[in-house]
Amino acid sequence: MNNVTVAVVVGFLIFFSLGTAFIVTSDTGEQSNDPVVSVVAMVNSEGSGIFCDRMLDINDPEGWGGLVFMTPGPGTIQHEMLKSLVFSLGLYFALDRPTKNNWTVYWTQVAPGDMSEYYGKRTMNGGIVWEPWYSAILTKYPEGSIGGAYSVARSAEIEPGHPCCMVVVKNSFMEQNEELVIRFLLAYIEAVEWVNKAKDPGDPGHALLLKIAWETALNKGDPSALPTPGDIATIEQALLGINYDYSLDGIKEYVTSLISRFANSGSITKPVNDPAAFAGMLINDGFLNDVTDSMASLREEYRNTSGAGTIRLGVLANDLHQIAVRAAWGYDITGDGKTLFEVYGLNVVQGGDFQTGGGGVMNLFAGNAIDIGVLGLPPTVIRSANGL
Amino acid sequence: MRIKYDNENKLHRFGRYILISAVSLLVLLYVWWMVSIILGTPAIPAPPRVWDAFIHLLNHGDVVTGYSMWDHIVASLKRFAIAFVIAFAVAVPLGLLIGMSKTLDDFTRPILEVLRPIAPIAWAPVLVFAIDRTWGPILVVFIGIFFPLLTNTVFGVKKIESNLMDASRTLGANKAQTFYKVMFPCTVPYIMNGIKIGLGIGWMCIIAAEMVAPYGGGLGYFISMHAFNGSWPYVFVGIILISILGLLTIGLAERAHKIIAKRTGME
Repeated sequence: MNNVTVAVVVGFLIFFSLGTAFIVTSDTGEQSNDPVVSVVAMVNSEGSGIFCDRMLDINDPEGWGGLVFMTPGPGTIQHEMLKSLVFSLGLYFALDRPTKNNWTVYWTQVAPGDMSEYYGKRTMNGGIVWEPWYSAILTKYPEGSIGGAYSVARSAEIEPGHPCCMVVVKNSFMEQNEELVIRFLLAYIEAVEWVNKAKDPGDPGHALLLKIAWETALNKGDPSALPTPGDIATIEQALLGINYDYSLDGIKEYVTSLISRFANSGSITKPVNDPAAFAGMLINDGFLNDVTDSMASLREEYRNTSGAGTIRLGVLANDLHQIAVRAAWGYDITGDGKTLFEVYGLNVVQGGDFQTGGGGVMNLFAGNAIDIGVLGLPPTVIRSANGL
Repeated sequence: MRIKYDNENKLHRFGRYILISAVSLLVLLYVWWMVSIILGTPAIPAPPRVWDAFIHLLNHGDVVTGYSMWDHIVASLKRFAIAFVIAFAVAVPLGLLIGMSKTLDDFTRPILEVLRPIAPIAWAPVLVFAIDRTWGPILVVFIGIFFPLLTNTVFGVKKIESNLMDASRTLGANKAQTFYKVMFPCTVPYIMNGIKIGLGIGWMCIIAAEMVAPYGGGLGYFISMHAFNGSWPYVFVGIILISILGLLTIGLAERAHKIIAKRTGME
């Protein structure tokens, strides 16, 4: 062997020895799945629905076999809900494939905003989707017309009161900025109260709510576009199907049940040994309890202040569930020339782009692009359990 | 016992190649393992976790979609194969014609020069939405394979020495004979080169297209879905499978290249 070969061999031996020592002494086993984010408030419950090109009964398997449904994808509450429903009918639930049978209901992933177009092409039989897309499809393809869509069920009929979107805060941010989180919750709660009041067509804020809802959910970025009468009908219909609520009552128990559900469906791939303890860590109702217990005094203390700090916010695109956050963020709903976040002294900026799914918002957390995110409970649970 | 390496011995050369390749891959594995430890992010899992995910996938399939690992691989391969056949059927004859005809070359050049620099992946959302979710991804791969294959074929025709063409005509070959006895065999090495480049680009395209149009499974969808759920070991399994399939397809193309070159006397 010449000198060069000897040097290369010795170099490799040193590299492997050091590398092996490094690997052996490092903990490469299963990392802990202690959540790095916390759920601090609910955004909404219910607010989704199943549509199909034929009328189906959610208690009778007749007619379901062989149909193809669009879903927002595995890991969303809508997908899991349809899956549970199909199983309860005694049928299988599988990803769409060329050869089909009559004992399986097939699914395919489609972004909610695209479902209407795909349904129009008639290559899929139906879908499950959140508002306003559920109402938009029913409005665009009226029941009984050729290619019309039938409302099979609202999510409230399948799982009454099921939680959907949540306000999620990064733990490291929360620990260092407790006051900002409190201010955020105060503004957010006030916005939820305003939305619930403005849902009433007789309320003076109703027209502004419709405007916010249209701009948030249906306008695809065209500043010169105006809502059509069909859009307004869709929004009115959609708002009726969504419960806007910030309370976290019963969420820990729900998360505990979700963990086993997602572990069985393969979405959670890291074992969660104590689901109840995990739920206890993920759901932080302390801030919300503190705020609701002393709402009047806290409002007095923090309202009409300025310069409290900046929060980077991550949100979903075209989602009517998040309208309270949007109302507090970009509109003067109190009539004093400021947004609600500004009223509470907050400078809320957008962290990252609008996301088409909760996984995208969790990616923003992972990339340290946001401090607070608004997203579905299932992706929050799945990504937290899987270690983000 | 001491074995002296003999460069003329086929077995020795093969042994040397295997040994160096094994050490090289081992280095890659070590670097990956160390990076996963240093960065400490779940998005880069350590090799043992990826191995466990692979075994789980092999034994239980992809629990989320109900597809087996093979179903995902076959779904991607099927799209890839259809796109390749169409690209080959269109690009090679068109390339030969363009190479032979200056007028056609002049006519098609502006069109091709405008379209060629566009990354095929940019077409993915357009084609998937404008056509459909079955043919959209296939057409994206088609575009990826088509351009390198076409440009290499044209280049191959233009590189044929005029002496060869003149000689064949002098010896009494008609146009058809000149085409399949001289022109086509001379172009084969260039076509094969285009195929190899196209196959590499094609694999990139199929994965991107399946991420845009998650219809009927496939490795691209498998990766994007598990990334959405933060199941990073499975994401890595998908990435490694793509690498293996890419190596296999390009290896097959190289093998075919050698056989064809040998048969046509173009070694």
